[in-house]
Amino acid sequence: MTSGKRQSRTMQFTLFAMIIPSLALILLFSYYPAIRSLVGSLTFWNGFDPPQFIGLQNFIAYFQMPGFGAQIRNLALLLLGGIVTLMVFPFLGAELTQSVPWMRVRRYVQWLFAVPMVVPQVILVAVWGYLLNPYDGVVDQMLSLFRVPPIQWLGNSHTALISILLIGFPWVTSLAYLVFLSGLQAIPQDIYEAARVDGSTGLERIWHLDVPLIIPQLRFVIIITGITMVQNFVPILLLTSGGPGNATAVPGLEMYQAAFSNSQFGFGMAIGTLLFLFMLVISILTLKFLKPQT
Amino acid sequence: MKRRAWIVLLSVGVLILLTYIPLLFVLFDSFKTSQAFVQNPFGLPWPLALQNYLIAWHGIARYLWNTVIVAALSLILGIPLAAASAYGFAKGRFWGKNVLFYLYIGLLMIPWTLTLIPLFVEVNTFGMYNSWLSLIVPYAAGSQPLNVFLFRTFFEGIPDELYQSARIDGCSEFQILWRIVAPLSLPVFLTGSLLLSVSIWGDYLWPTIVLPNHNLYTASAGFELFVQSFGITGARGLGPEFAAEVLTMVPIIVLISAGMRYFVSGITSGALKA
Repeated sequence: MTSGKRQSRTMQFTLFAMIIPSLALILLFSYYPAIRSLVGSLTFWNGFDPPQFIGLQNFIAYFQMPGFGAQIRNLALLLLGGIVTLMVFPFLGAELTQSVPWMRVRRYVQWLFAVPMVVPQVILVAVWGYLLNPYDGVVDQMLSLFRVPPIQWLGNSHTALISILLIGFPWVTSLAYLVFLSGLQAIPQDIYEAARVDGSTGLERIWHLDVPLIIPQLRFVIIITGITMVQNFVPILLLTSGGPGNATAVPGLEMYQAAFSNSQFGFGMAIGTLLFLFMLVISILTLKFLKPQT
Repeated sequence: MKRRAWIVLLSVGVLILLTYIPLLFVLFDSFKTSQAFVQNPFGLPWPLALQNYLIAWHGIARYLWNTVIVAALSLILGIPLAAASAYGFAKGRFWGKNVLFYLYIGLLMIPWTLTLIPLFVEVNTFGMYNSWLSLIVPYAAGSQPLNVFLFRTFFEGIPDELYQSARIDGCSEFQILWRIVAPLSLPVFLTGSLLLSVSIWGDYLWPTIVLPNHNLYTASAGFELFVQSFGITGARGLGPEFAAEVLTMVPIIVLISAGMRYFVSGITSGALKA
């Protein structure tokens, strides 16, 4: 008995030890940098000399910089746009896929919508940058058939942000598509039968039945959409670098340029911290107010 | 009913077409000379400008091979560590287990904008700067949360009798993981490997930050470097550029097409964690 108990204790110790290497990896390469960022946001640091503690001055400097208002406005617009491009269209795509009457065709449709997910973002950006260019861009050439004069998509401050959102049109292909689809596929068929007997139409069914039943997936997609829009400034970096003027400037890009162009490491970490706090609030609100129905 | 089916099919068809038009456009025009392209972007690609592919291959082949090596090494480091940890979480009954697991789950909600700058500094401190270690180790670390989550769920689904009988036979926990659990878990290991490979293939920013030696670049960063070598405007190297796009896309598309089932299952089960 005692030996059995001791054996079990060694076993538990072995199992705990198996966690350690992986845990060390995330503590060292995820948590340590995260904490360092939170602390470093309170310092003045150029990356070489020892950091100096300056309290909240980085944050104050950021709030007072000339481009701050434009950056927040653009981020807000991107988040609004993200609701359409990263949530509504993938959801509609998933609903349409589920409405395809033949199982076999449905699987092909899912496959076709899923594959372009893995196309590297730089390629998508290159292709859309090309399609939207004002010299021989295909979008303008198409529009000229309808006598629309050429639009300087990325070069005009009114259309630049829209052009960034346009990348990936018609926006069905995304993580959210597969997530919503799996949620819809898990809804038991007899619930649909009951709804049909009640005589509810397609749209009513989607709103009153599908949406409440995929709340777990919806929570995930909302958080992912927020994170994507907050952190993904690569298309902006490659296509407009925040311009023209401040038309596509966003906090993430400001952070990147502060650190890697201007050696303002403390300032950059302050912006990183703000973005983290913003996403933390969004995540907590989502998880608190959007509860799965039991 | 019948009419509704046709409307659905038609809308799906249009959406698929719109999704693929940019990609087909690239494929189609990668066979045209830059000159033929400027004259008429919608013209037929004839005669086939295969030299585009020669130029593009010459320009980016190195980066594609680099990506294969970096991805393979990241998997060799990341997957076994995640598997061992997931096994500990699945079978362990020790104090503090749940708190430790939340450490993993919590990471899935942190945008990498928070960690980017200090990670860059850290990679410098460890002397990994300007070497593939600066990619491999952070990639392997970044893959831990999702993979530990996926593997743990899978391991918990394996019947307890298998573990018990192996223990009676005198297997250690490592032997159980290696000889019994791992062979059964190949599908979920494949899922984790595919997800990590796709993200490494698509990562542009991090390699450009930690690798001043451009010869070490991986697919996305190398592609961008190749494109920018032609300058910004004018006819530039459109033909080779499109060919480079095709060459950069095809390997990862082929990989995912072959493993689509595993890729999808990884994404959809990851969604339920929220």
